[in-house]
Amino acid sequence: MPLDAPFPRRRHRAARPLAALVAIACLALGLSACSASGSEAKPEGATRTVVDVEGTEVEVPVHPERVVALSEPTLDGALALGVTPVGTISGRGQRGVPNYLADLAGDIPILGGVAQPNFDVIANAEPDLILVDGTSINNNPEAMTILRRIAPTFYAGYAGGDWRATFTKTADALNLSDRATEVIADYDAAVVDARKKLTAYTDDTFSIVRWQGGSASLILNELPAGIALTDLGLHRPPNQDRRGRGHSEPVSLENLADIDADHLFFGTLGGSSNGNPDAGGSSDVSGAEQALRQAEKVPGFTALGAYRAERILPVDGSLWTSTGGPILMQRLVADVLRILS
Amino acid sequence: MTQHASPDAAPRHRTVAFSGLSLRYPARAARSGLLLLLAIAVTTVAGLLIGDYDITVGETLQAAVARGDDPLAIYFVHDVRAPRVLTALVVGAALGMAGSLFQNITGNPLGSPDIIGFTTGAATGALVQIIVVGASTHAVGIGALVGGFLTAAVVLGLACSSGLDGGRLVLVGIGVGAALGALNSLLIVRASLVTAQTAAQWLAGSLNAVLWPRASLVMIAVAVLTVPALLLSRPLGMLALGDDSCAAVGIPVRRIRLGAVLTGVALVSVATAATGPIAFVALAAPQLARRLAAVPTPGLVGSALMGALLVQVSDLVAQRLFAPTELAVGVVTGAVGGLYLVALLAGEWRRNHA
Repeated sequence: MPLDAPFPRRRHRAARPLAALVAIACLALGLSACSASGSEAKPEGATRTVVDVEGTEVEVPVHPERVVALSEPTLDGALALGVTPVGTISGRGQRGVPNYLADLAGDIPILGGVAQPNFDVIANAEPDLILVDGTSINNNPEAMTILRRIAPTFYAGYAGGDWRATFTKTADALNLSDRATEVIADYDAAVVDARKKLTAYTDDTFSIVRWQGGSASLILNELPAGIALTDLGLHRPPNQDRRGRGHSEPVSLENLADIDADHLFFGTLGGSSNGNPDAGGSSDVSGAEQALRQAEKVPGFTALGAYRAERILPVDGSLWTSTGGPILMQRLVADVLRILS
Repeated sequence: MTQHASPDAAPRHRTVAFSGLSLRYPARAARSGLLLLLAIAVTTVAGLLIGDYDITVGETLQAAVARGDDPLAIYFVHDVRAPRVLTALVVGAALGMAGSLFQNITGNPLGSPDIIGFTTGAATGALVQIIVVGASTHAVGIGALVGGFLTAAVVLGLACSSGLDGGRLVLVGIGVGAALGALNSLLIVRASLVTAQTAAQWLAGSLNAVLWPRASLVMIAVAVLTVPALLLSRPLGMLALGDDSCAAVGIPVRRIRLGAVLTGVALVSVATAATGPIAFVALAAPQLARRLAAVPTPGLVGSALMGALLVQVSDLVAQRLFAPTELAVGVVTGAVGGLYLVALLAGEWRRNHA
């Protein structure tokens, strides 16, 4: 066996490290006992009490002025309501703010990534309200404890939850519920308007694919882009006409034909992933075109009906295959109109 | 190693006597231990003082002794950074000790829990809790413990049907670990977004947002497990002389080995339960400590100190490399440890084919 390297003998040692470890443990217990706990940051000035999606009562300023939005849906929601946060996190798989919000949020300082918020820089931003949701701080009571020490922290919605619900909650925390009703009405009006222009496509089928790491995954009905297609009256192929588990559903390469449809929206989030956020690549339309050239080399891809009919439509992956709020939805509708007309 | 070309050449030892008790210790190992302690002290202070929060070094020092007029600064130093640093050290020490125990049991530098599937098994247990049961933080820890022990039972059952053979154990462990790794991926792909995200974050192995309750729990668990580890380490080292020789001088070979396996699995499971899997520390720490101390087998104390230092340094790198964006510490140890594993395998190959 080449791996066998026997160890001939052993050295002597003292038992002192044990005493040291016990001492450290006692010290730690002592420290934790005497450290101040339980006190949360209280806003200055006039406040009101709101109930977040988890049922927690949060005392927030009547007019929050320094809002930190630690997720894509709350950032999108705040911007839609005319509130520019003083800090946010980088978009999923991206270095900066989500690409589709770059024109509105490009100047907002980045305070960390989706899964690893940097509490020090969040505190530096001196927020008076922190907005989070399940797409960022997810089932992490310790992170919530730290954030609540920095500023009142409002949990706006669950991961994969209905964008309208998360947006309505976000607006409640910001004391802008009336404005939120208008924003949602604007979206509904845009949808009605767009449906009239898309009547030629009501008999076609549409597929939404995220191409990542050399293979495909499907965006199904419960995700924002799927919701937009449903709202617009555009149909999915029968095998895709269902709700997924709240994230894109991987399709193995031997089942590649499952992604086929009359029209195929094709996006990517670049080469990066949650575990490797700096792998580079781009999530915008040029990134999608680059990914498409790689996909063409995968056996079977060029046999897809959509490919042969030249109806593979490269789209901005940050818009089509991630998460967001009303601005995302509005821009999805506009993107569909732009591409199909 | 070259300085031990003759099989009976032992490291130079010193002896101290104190009121009737005398202690004989290898001189270079003691020096390397002190060096490691010094490095740990420096990186610990760095971990407490370095951060992005906008205060001067003076204000940070004031906050460290709970003075100064910024309660948030005191909170950051006392309640966020201190438990994080201590957890890094304790988890690293646990991984180092587990690696040392297993490498001595198997007599093989590859016989460490992350290679032979125990870490992956602990992760499987935790993932089942997170995804299938939808459990809280403490239940996830229990899941990791159960997963680690079940994996150990399976690997040892398959590998040791006819006595313990280090090479066989490593190969069986790699196989079981690969199967469990696939199961872990399957669990995540089949989960809903909410639980998949929790699971993926846990799997990265992170010290972000470790507060005192978790830190205290892992410190107590590791302190308790250190007792049997220390008691077992000396007779365990003598097993290298061969089972028959040991039995002849009255060492209960089977009991020692079983006790060491149980302690090692418990250590690695506790560490994994606390932070998620932090790759390669259990593999690398014992061998690095052995080389630093120039001793023939990886010692328990040196491995613990080296493990603590590795995780603490890796966490500092994870926090600072792309600041203000933080990486998970497991990503850093995975990247560095992967290179180490390649070097180790290349070295083994050269030695056996030279």
